[in-house]
Amino acid sequence: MDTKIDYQPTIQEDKVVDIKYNISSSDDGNVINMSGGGGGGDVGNSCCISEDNHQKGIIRNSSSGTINNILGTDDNNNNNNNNNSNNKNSNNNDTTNSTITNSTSTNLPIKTYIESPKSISSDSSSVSSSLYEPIVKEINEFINPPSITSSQTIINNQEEKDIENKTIVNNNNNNNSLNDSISSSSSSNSSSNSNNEESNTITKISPTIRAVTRSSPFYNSKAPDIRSEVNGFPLKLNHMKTKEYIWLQLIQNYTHDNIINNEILKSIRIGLPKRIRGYIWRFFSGAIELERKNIGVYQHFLGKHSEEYEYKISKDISRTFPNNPYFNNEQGQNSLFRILKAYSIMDPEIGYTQGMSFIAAVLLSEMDETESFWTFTSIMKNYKLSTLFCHDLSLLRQYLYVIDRLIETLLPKLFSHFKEIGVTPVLFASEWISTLFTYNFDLPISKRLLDVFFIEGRFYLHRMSLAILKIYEKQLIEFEFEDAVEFLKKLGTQIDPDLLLKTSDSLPLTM
Amino acid sequence: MTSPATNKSAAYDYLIKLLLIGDSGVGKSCLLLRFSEDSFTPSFITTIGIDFKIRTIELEGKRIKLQIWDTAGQERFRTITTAYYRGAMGILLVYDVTDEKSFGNIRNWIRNIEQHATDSVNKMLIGNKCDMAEKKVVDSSRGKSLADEYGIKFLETSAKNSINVEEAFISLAKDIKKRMIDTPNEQPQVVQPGTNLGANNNKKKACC
Repeated sequence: MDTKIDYQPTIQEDKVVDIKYNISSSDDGNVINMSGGGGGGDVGNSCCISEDNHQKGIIRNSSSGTINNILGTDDNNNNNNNNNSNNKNSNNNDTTNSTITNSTSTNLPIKTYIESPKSISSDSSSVSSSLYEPIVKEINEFINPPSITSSQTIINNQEEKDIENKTIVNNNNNNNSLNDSISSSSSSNSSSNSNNEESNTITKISPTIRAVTRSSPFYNSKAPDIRSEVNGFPLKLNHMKTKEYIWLQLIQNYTHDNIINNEILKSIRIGLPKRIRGYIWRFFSGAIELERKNIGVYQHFLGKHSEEYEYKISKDISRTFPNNPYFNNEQGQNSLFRILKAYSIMDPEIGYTQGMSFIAAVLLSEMDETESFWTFTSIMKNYKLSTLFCHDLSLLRQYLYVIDRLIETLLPKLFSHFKEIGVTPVLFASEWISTLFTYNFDLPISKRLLDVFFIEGRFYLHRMSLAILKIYEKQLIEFEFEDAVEFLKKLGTQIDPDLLLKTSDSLPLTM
Repeated sequence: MTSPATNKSAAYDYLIKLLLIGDSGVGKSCLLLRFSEDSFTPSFITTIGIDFKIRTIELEGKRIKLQIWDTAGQERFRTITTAYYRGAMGILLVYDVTDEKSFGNIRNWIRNIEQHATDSVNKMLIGNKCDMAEKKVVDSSRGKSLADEYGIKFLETSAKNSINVEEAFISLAKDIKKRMIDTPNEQPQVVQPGTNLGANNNKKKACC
């Protein structure tokens, strides 16, 4: 890692930094820019998802190696891996992880690509508790103190600053009334589907909240209710299929040691079992935690109005996966509208941008509305992808730039062919990135990619983009402009996700 | 994967590049689908980023290949789509006759053209969805007078009922042919940011 990397390509204007979401962790001085409006800091900690009650961050096991090692493709990745694993207590891990590729100058070849799949917080407690501050802060401005009851408002941690808690119920985790309020609010949450996960969701995280399982429909089950042991895993032991049971164990191990181990990295690439996919997405994205800490918040924003964004959103609802039966019915479309509307009001500087609806729609196909909202919020905030959608699309343009540089470095023949025929990443990768490979991709393929995204984080999107190009390099080199672009726009319906992921992992992007 | 559209590179005499712009949801993609494939679907997918379609027409004995670019309508996407304005020889400015806002925004779109497109680019104002007479809020005369103000052509169209779609594209193509091919001395050097077709280079005579 000789090269100091600046993840700021040519885009200099319009530094739209959402100050509200700047989070600084007091202990180590690292500043995590949640908005990531072009700031270098946003590149790192791409997805710090952690169990802040337990003061855990997601740490990769140093002995587990990177994915590449697992697949036996790239030994060099040890370097990165060791960095990650050893940086738990290091102050500079932010920069270590945050770097991506090279150079403010557009022509320098990329020598280094440091993957920061799961960010490793140097002080996970401060970072993780801060993670929720933006939401809490935001809510703070809206919620009227007198109207707040413990069952309706944001449940905040006692570690968080009092100043943040004017209107927030400050709870001790062992507080029984908290448990009661959680269970009552969860059972009264009318917007959620009757999905059993709703109450389970809330039982997740802290063992001390296990009392909530009183409201669980499974409470009287004879089977041992191990769901509470693993943060509300949505299936009972005696109902599980083998793969699901394996995931139960992986989750269980993870909650103990907070390490994304080999097994998880390997299993996620095989694809998540259908019945628990939504849960695993929520678990690793931090959405379960967000939702648990912000009970009632989604409903709150649903009650607000933004004429501008509602108008824009309404234009796109019926145009999101219009041929998918799940989304061309009123119920699915209403849910989609509400999620996007609530998000646009909660995060007014981002608001709504085309592309968001595809992500939200895929989430909706795997979980209920409230869960989808929080998972969407996690993608925007925990994975720091919101600036993909800010008013100048700064992050999207950064992605396009980096992808272009990566093609130049890793696929030079294709790069010169693209240059010759005039194909640029904006023609194909803007939709790949801004919809997380859901637009013009078959849904089952998209979901396989999202599985890995939720574990690996946003830098994996580069890998996927490059992998697609690498897989089809030979064909693409034969095509003229029009055929090449058309091919690139259609390949999402037939690409083999196993090959794509394997190729992604094999890319020599790390020194 | 099968090779896409093998016939697309069929011989042509000239290549003309057009661009569709206008607010989100005014029917740009539908107009393009109607023109390029003569079909219509009420359930059209949102355009993300930028896309294009091809249709080859014959004008006065010449085969003219139209490469028509379609863009995402949302304002923020201009940051990545304006790079394609410069390559356009003709621009169709589309609004929705049932949506006052989209008509009001035409002036903004024209400002964008002035900033990013070549000065001589041919423009045309299109009021789409004219089949929805009962919901119409932008009167034809207002469209006409706006077009007159900028000295450009105006047509009301319906992609759904296939009204004036063919006319709009072909009329614009004719104007471009006249400007760039029939009177080549006045033709500015058109720079294509990423659309230099390699196919049939030997057959192309002018305009690109």
